[in-house]
Amino acid sequence: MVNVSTVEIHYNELLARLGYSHNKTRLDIKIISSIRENLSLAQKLIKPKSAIAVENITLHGNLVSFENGYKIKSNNIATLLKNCFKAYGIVVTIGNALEKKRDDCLKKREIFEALILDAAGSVAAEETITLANSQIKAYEEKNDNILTRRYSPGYGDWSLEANKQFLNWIGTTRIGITLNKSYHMKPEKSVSALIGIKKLACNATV
Amino acid sequence: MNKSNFLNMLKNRVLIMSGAMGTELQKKKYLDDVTIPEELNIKFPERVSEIYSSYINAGADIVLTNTFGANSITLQQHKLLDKAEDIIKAGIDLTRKISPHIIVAGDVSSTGEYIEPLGTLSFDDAYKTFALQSSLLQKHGADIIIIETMTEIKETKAAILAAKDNFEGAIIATMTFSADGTAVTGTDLKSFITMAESLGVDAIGLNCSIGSMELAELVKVLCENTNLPVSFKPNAGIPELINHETKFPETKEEFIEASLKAYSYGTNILGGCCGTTPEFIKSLSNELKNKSPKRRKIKNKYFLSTRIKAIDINEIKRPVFIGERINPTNRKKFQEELSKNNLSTIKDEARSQVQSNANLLDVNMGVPGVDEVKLLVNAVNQLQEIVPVPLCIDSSTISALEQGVKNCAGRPIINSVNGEQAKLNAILPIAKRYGTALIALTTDDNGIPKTAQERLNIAKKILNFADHYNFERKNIIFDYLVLSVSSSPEQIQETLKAMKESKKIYPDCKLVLGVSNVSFGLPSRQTINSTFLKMAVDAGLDFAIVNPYAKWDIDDHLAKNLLENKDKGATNYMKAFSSFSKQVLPKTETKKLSLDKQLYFSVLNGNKESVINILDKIIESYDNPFKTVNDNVLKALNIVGERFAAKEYFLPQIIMSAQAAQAAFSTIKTILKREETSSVGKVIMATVKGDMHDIGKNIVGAVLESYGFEVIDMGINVDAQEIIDKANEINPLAIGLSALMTTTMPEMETIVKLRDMNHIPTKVIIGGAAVTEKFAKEIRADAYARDAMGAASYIKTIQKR
Repeated sequence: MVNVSTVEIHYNELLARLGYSHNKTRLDIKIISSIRENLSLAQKLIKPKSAIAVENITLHGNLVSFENGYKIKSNNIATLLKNCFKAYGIVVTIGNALEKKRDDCLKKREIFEALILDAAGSVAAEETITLANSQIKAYEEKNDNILTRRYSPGYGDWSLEANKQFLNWIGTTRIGITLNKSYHMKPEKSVSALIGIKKLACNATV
Repeated sequence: MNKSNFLNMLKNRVLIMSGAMGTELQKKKYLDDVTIPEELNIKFPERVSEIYSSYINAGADIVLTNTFGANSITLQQHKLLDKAEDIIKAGIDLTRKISPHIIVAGDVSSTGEYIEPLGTLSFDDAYKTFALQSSLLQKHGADIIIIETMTEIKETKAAILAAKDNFEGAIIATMTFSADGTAVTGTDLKSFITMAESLGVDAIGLNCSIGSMELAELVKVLCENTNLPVSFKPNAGIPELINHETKFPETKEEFIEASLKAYSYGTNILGGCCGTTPEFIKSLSNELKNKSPKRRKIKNKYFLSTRIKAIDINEIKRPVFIGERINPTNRKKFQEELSKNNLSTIKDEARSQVQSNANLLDVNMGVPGVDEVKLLVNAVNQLQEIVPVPLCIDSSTISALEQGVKNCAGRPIINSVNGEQAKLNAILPIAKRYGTALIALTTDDNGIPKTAQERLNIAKKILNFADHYNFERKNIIFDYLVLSVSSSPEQIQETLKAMKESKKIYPDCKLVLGVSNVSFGLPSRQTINSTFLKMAVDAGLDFAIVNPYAKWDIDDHLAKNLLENKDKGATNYMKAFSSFSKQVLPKTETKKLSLDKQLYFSVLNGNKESVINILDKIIESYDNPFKTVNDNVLKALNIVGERFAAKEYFLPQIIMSAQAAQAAFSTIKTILKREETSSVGKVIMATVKGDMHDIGKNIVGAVLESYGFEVIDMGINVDAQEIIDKANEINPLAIGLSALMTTTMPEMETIVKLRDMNHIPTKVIIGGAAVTEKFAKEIRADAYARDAMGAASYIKTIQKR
């Protein structure tokens, strides 16, 4: 269902991430070459992986209970999952090689290179979660189900600390993701998200 | 089993390899009480034996040892380095106990670290880790080594070299690829074939990757492009990690269907990778064990390669162009740049030559007084990441040649050896070891011989030596050397004669010439160069070392007459071309500008390299160079700021300009006495406690430095009290705080409060993805900066007060 092994970092996405304005920003050949060369390096350094969990859920007020016993208490999540009968947890990462290279550039004060690699890593992580999301969407739509939007720990009243239990539920150590003391994911260019699933017919009535 | 027995066996029958180890151990939950699978060899050997037995019973001829990650880097990370020998010995012994006659394949895989320039691991350190693993596999009796699941070509190269140096049995090198036939680091199938073949492996193959059916299509490409035995060891599809379980989508039947396809293409060794089970291997064995391998028809290929691409020289129309422009000889400015380790010109030359259809690039870094080894390695590392053409590593320094080719991510040419015995002794082993092609000049201790026959005699000597070293003749590229037609007109025919004869008597060897020597001292040089090139191609020339920007379709009858020695004293040629003057290129606008304007535009355009060159001249020419630099850099930065505000510039351009400005200030401060320069003040920069994000803070720091501020970067995850203590100590103009997460933003308030409690007058300016102006006001920070330019603007206002 989910295969994120091939993710391309698109040049235009990278420019947008860096603040490029299509109508206003003027680029010369030197900067285009430099950006493209670092983009090419970034592409060599990413190894996208994913892990998912999926469970049936029930809602009672702001408490979401998963069939396997995992629970989330959050108004925002309860709202997100309203009318949903199951939910996916997804976590993706692009690995740590790009971050290592970026940090090495920072150490050598190669800020330009570090900036492009960092932005390319963010684009790659975003592309990866988007790809995983679209694959789940395609799978669920075959069964007349629809997806909610993605929601990640650290937003609204779903605290970043909740990431610990959330990742435990998904099981992320096999793809090399851990949490630091501040509950940030390592590798840094990783994204975790919750997606609710509801029946198409159910949505039509909402 | 010795190597020749194994290779003979491969000629006669297909061999079956074991299937997955890691996923079998994982499925049985055998990995729950060890740090890495290899630890099982010494902690729970019965679990490993169980997997080995299952594959032997399934019919495997070859069993891979549980030593996939038993390299010193991985073992060190898991505090098991002191157990390396025990782990490897047990990994082998356990197979022998089950079946004394099984072929034991020492399994070697990636360290998990990338080699420079992709990562920070040096090639030599990678080599050392594989050398230890290979020597232990040798010591404890593995029959063959399989290098597998490699994703990066330089690591594969290090592993192959280490295995060849430390292991006597056959070596099989395999890599993993995406469905489009490229490894994640960009290497394509033919580049892998080129590298592995040239380093002298005994078999090559593909493993893991993308699922058996798609991998079978890739193995077909392998079978079509190599004469070596081929191995095929696919996974059972790309795994999905769902609800803590790793699921492989492929069935045994699909795996067998793909394996039969791979067999039909001429594969010699078949097995399974992640997700395959003893049942898969049993079916595979039932289908293919002991069958004769299919014969393959291989074309005559002559590959040179880069990290991402291999080119078959036999497929390229003659002549194959080797761009000569990356060479600092007689180029003063270029030499100055290289002496400052500035590689911008070579990068520009590389890109331009490739755009001008150079098939390969010659790289010469011979600058007097410069560490050529370091410079050449750096150039090789950088060039091969930006242009997709193979390199011709050019040096008269043996150590530079060796380090250059060692660090090459593809198969290069060495330029060059000649008939001098000392050079042959030193360079031929390097070419042999690293599998390069080799340009051989037909000169010796006595210089360039006058006659064709004498040059052919030197060629013969070189070939005899190459034969003695078992260096394949096809990898020798002879240069029969062309002299200037103006000084030695009779010599041109000798060169062409030697080339024609060489093609007859040494048909395996290719030919090269540095073409432009021929026209030295004459007008309209390109007329002669181009005409001569055509004559040389007719004489069998394969490679031409040339300036690819020049016009190469000139075929002039006067030049031809001159080259054929029919125009004595070059009378007719000179009559026609003596008035020809070298075309003078119009100088660029920048060059017409005064030095201060050049500096201004260099900062504005973010050209750090040219700033450094201009600075030297400003210091020589101006009465108050610091003021000149200060005024022009700041003026440029103001325009940069305005363009950023108008979105004409975006962040990368800000950084490029900031780095150019910073280079200007740091250069002038280094060159002038410090008292002649004025400090504009100190700024503390820190990412707050709990937050690990570094990049935003560094960007702001770089921009502040570009304005001449002294930035004290306290790093990431910095404790509030440490920041306050530092501020107390150095009394900075400002403290710049960065936080990316909402969860770490409250730490900013803590710092502001601590500052107030300690009555420190320093301003606090905050920024970061989730930080807002409103938040800054709420926590009583002095300012909020939306971006680096905003931070610089605010701190400049404090400075003026």
